[in-house]
Amino acid sequence: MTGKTRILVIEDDPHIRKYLKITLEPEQFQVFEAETARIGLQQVIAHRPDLILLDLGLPDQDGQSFLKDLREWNETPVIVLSAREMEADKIQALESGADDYLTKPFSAGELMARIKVALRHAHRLGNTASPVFQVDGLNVDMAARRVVLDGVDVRLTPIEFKLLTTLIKHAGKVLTHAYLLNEVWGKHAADNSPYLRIHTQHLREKLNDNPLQPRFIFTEPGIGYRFKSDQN
Amino acid sequence: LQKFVANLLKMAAITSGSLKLKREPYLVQEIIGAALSRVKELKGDRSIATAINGELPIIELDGGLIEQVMINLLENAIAHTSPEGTVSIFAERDADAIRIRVSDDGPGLEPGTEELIFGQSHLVDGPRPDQRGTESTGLGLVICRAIIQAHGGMIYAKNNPGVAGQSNGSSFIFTLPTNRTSS
Repeated sequence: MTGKTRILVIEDDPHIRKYLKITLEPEQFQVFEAETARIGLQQVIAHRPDLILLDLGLPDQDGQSFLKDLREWNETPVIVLSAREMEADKIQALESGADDYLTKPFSAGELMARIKVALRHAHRLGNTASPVFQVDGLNVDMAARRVVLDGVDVRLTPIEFKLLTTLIKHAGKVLTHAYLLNEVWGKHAADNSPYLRIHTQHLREKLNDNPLQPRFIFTEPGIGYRFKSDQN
Repeated sequence: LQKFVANLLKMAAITSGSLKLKREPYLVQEIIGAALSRVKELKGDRSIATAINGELPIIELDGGLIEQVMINLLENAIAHTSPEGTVSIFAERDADAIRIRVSDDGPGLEPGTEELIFGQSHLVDGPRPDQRGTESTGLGLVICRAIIQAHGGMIYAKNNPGVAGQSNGSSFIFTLPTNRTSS
């Protein structure tokens, strides 16, 4: 691969833009900045970034509508920057096509981890996904429908297996409750969040995963779940 | 100041009842686990002991808001203990509620302020630094109380029993009903 990975920061707060720039540039990212949605759009076209960091509260256009417009013609991974209290905005952004979100204030470590996951996920979509997923003692062979944890076979129900493989396909990314319900149970199941809770709890028990100190399945309160990434 | 105003607006929404709770079934351990990860991200790898007594039932709560209560209480506890100090979380089931306690071994609360710190009159001076020089809006606990009350629970603070007048830190305790009756 030649050249640096290009990241476009669309954020009106100059302090946050500066923080992102001084955090990302030493990590060998090339950073472009835009303080409005309009300039952001121009930068997307001009620089074809590999990833976009998007603030939802832009002065000239709502970040959500920018995201929807962008997704009509462009698949660049987008990580949304949002305030702690704005759960509804985060869900809407994920459903509008954002790949992930970061809650302000965030650390450099968290920022780098999310960027790596989003870039890897985008790269993986462009390639043939491996049928075997391995992380931290867990081995899932999707073709053979076999799950092994710390060398011991784990028996899952078909729904638990589907829930697990859906989480694994997006490992490292947060998936909303609505997305999981739709993927695992189908369109008509959108209001059946108790199903999701119960089966997630059963899956956790079978994977020996303590929600207090999660090993694989991380709860994002008010939003959804995130499965541990297979690379850190 | 921006954070102060955002918190103020949020408090107004919560206390006026215009904030709708988005209740979903959760295990409290999930919320505690998420809050611990978030605090670890923001405050570094502080040792926080956790203990759950017995089985806790799944209850319906607003996950995002209860996580915020946990984060506020943990940040508060960390701000009032030395880097080597102890912060701990304990959760158990009562007859009709889950009781969660966040304790620290810092200097404790000034006697007589245990209730005042949750009051809005505590806020008249606006943002001010806490003992470690971190800017504190003082709004955190007011918001925590509003969120817990909206869930039909209660929240209070007390000093931990110490030996011969010596401080043994403080505890912040809140309850979440297992059979919800409030809206």
